[in-house]
Amino acid sequence: MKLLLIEDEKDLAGTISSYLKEEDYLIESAHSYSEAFEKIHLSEYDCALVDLMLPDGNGIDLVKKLKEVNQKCGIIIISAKESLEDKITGLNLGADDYITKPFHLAELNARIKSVIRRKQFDGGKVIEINELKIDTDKRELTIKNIAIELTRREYDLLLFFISNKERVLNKEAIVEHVWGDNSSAFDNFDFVYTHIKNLRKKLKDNGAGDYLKSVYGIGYKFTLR
Amino acid sequence: MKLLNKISLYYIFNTAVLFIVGLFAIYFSVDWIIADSSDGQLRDTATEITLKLTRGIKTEYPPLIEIKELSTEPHIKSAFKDTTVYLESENDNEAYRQYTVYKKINDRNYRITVRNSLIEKEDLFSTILIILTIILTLLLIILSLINRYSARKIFKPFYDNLTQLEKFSLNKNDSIVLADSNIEEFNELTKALTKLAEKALKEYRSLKEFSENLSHELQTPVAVIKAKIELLLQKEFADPDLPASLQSIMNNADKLDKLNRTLILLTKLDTADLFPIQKILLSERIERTLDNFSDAIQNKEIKLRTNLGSKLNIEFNDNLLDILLSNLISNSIKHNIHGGELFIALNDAVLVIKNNGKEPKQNPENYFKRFVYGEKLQNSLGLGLAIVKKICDMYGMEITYQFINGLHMIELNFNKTKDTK
Repeated sequence: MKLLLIEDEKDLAGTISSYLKEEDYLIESAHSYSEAFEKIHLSEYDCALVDLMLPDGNGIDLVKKLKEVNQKCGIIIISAKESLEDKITGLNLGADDYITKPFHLAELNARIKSVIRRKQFDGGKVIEINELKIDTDKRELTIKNIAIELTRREYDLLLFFISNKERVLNKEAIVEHVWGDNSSAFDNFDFVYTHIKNLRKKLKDNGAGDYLKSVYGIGYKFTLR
Repeated sequence: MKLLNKISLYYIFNTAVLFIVGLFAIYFSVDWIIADSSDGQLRDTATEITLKLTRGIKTEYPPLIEIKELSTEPHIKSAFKDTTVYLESENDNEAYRQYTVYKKINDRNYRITVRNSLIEKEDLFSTILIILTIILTLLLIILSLINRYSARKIFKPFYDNLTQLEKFSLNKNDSIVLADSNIEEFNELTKALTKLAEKALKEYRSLKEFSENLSHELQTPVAVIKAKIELLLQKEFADPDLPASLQSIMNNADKLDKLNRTLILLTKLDTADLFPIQKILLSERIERTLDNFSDAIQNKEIKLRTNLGSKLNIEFNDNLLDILLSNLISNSIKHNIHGGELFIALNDAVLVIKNNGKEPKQNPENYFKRFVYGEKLQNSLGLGLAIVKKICDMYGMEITYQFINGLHMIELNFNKTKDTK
């Protein structure tokens, strides 16, 4: 998989690429409009992360260019502005997703995977990890060919963990991904524990391995090791 | 007290003092003039009588003229005197001015008394008093008529401008237009106020622009901090305290981020143009919001009761309605007690949210201000109700908060946003 990261803040770009490198992506960074413009025309990417505010141009134009050059490239807009118009314009131009700065790297990672799944496999793709089989189209989990009933939250949790496997996820990132804006009603994030405990029990009870580990002081991790 | 009335009051007070002084001045001068001319007259009459007596004619006309022959020669000087004489016809003592002359005429001693009826001083005084009081009363009536007229005509531009000023708001972003008048003081005031308003608007705009820019500029460094920590958290740590510290930095960066986003929203709410309205079925939207919070409700074992029978359609911005309802419902869960009750009802256009909770320590009016916490919670910024209030203000909606019998109650009137089509 080849990714293009268009982000003028070099520090942020460096951190994002270090995080994503673990996923076996080939990542190229562009720090300006002109640099990105050149790269778009020189090679093909599976997914592009586009910052809208660039010192020498508007990222929206790059989205248009990307669409012209390569239909199959997934596009995720990264913006500092939580502006609805920008979001709508971007999505109308063919961007696949829109994420507002600052974001959790785990969240970005999950979004990239989701976009690539949709782009490369025409919508749904079945993710297989050992005995777990997730049909992302039907939002279904089967363990050894037996369908397991998961609640909406449990499914979202599992997919988020699997998208970020072998990585430590903190509670905030988990809550933000699964509960989004609705997390404001909770006094604290201790409730995440209950949901993870339930999910873990369901996996174990149905013959799957114990993949969900808690990481002291931070959060949780989905690990096969 | 109105300016005109105040001025009038001073005017009347001074006039009254002047009138009292005038009353005495007029009284004493009139009195003196009358006495003086009356004495002259009496002297003339006495001379006349004396002359007639010399000729042997004795003219008497009591009580005005009385002549008495005396046996001895009295060595008494002629003198004026105020006296009273009993009148049989009137059956009363009347006031008289009398002049008594002692004269030796043709070797006979005479006492000649001439009298002149006096106007009674009391009568004189009260007459003057009545006249002056009538004049003073007329003056008052005229003055009040002038005042009423002035208030309507002269002060019209003043009151018009006052209404304009009351309506003026920095948020609305339009400059103030004040009416001119032909009165110099008012014009000067108008000029000064217009200048002040323009200056305030300019400074408000630049401050707003500054906070907008600041918020956007803050996002990149916060993004870098969060990303770096997340990357670090993937590492193995020899020191077991380190992950907790990193996590704490992360939590605070998250808080900073949320705060920043909320502040951006608050500044945006000043510009109504950014939020186009559409027709929305309110009860459906409330149910959807409650559904979104179902996890939080279950987590706290809150007993939820709803009464959403009203099929009210409102004209509202989609996003803002979500924010409004989310904030209110989220608050009613967050500030609820474990196992508490939550009651949500939509009666016509009034949304009522009641929930259990601790008694407020603050003046409830403060809740709608920024950064005022009822109860400081871990996951709270203190901006929720400030946003709610701002959205309500934007739509001219009324929101009230009360704490009755251990229940927090918020009432929100959607009447002004009713879809009339």
